[in-house]
Amino acid sequence: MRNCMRCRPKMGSLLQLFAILCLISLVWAPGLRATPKAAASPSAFVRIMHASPDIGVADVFLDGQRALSNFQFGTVTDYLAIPPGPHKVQVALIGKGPDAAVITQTLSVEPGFAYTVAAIGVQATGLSLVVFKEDNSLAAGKAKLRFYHLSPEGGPATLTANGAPLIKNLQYLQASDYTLLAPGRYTFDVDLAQQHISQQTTLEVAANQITSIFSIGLPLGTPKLELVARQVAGTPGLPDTGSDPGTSANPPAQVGVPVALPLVLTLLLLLIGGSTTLLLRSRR
Amino acid sequence: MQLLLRACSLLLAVLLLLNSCGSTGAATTHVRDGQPLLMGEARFPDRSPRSTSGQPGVPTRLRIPAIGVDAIVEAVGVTASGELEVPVRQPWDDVGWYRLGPRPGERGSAVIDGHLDRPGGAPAVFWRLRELKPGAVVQVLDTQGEWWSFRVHALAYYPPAQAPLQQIFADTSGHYLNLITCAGDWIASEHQTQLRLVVYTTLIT
Repeated sequence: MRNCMRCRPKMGSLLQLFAILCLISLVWAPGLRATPKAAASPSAFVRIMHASPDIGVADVFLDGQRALSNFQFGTVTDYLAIPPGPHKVQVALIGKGPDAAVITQTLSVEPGFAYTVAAIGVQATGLSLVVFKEDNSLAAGKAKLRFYHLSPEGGPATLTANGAPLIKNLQYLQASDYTLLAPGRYTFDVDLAQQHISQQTTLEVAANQITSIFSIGLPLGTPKLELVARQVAGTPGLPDTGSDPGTSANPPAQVGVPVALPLVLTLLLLLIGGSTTLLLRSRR
Repeated sequence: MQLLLRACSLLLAVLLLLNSCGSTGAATTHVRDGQPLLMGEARFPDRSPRSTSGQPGVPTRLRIPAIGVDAIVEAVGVTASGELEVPVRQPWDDVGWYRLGPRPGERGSAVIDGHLDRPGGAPAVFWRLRELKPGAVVQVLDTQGEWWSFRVHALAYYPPAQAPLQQIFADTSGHYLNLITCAGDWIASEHQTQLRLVVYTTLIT
């Protein structure tokens, strides 16, 4: 009887120990997927185009700091990463400083998005910045093209590719939708309806790239009408790097050790514990 | 009975030891084709990434000492539907470098992806990517035999349709290497996980 009284607490402790071990093996599960953490705030991406015939060589200031210098008509910058939110953008003749800016505007940009900001206009009708939100996601195996009509005083513009109309009657200060093309070499013509004047450029457009064609300049004056092209690599979508957890697992040799090991050890432990208990009871 | 208790205590200690090994980088085990690989034995390069001048070659190997990754790099492109491809030769063990973007070490955002898990849920090469913390080192060997070292500066989780793709693939403001894998719950109806994890790293100069 004394022996039994002493045995019971020990058997209870053993059961508790087994329970703890089972819990450990279940809780210790690297197989569980992580709880998502807060996402880092991404930048906004802005490229700047000088498309104003009446602004000479300029400096561009972002929030009072010079961001670009010697910025010439017809130039398009790379995409610049800037913090999202509102920003004061100023365009001034080179060397004059932000206090002498000919354009001052506050633009707000969203995190993760890409924008084209164009300095446009003529003195007679006003100088300003126009903003286009971009979609640089690639179209697999295709060339993606967008046309921007930034030529004042010419009326709507039509863009043709190898003689075939591609984008018709685009209004001044508008950008077209994105158009898909088979990769290859194209001669692009822009035709301004009101002035019956056209200009052309020949380009190689590649698969998975984004091509921007800007119509800038004056149909009757200087700087004269011209097409400026800019190409950037398109961005792919994020990959599918997960696997179906419900799919039948690989052969046992490929079962992950961190997942299988605690379960195996726990089963082993239970087996040892059970058989030892039986052994002790049979001896009694 | 005392013997039994001692045996149980020993097993408990073994379990706890194994558990602690799983959360540290130095002497962890890593599944590779079903065989445990002791990463503590591997030697990691300590040469400066700028030890030679010139442009980096094509990446061939990726090492992340903190989480025991030592993987062969395959070059990948895009799928027919426009997503970044995943490695095909050894899909669960290799990683994929986006060959239409910059090479690791070049200006811009180089990207390497890798699987989180295998069918059935066992770990794949980027299983422990989520354990990385800012400051951890990521190393890439190129075809010219040069190592390029990067330091983790941020981790972010995104629903795949809402990810900042321009930032991940096209930030040219520096020399970046971004690592991508899956995260979150498996959505059976979409045959994909809920989220993607992006680890942003910057070249150590």
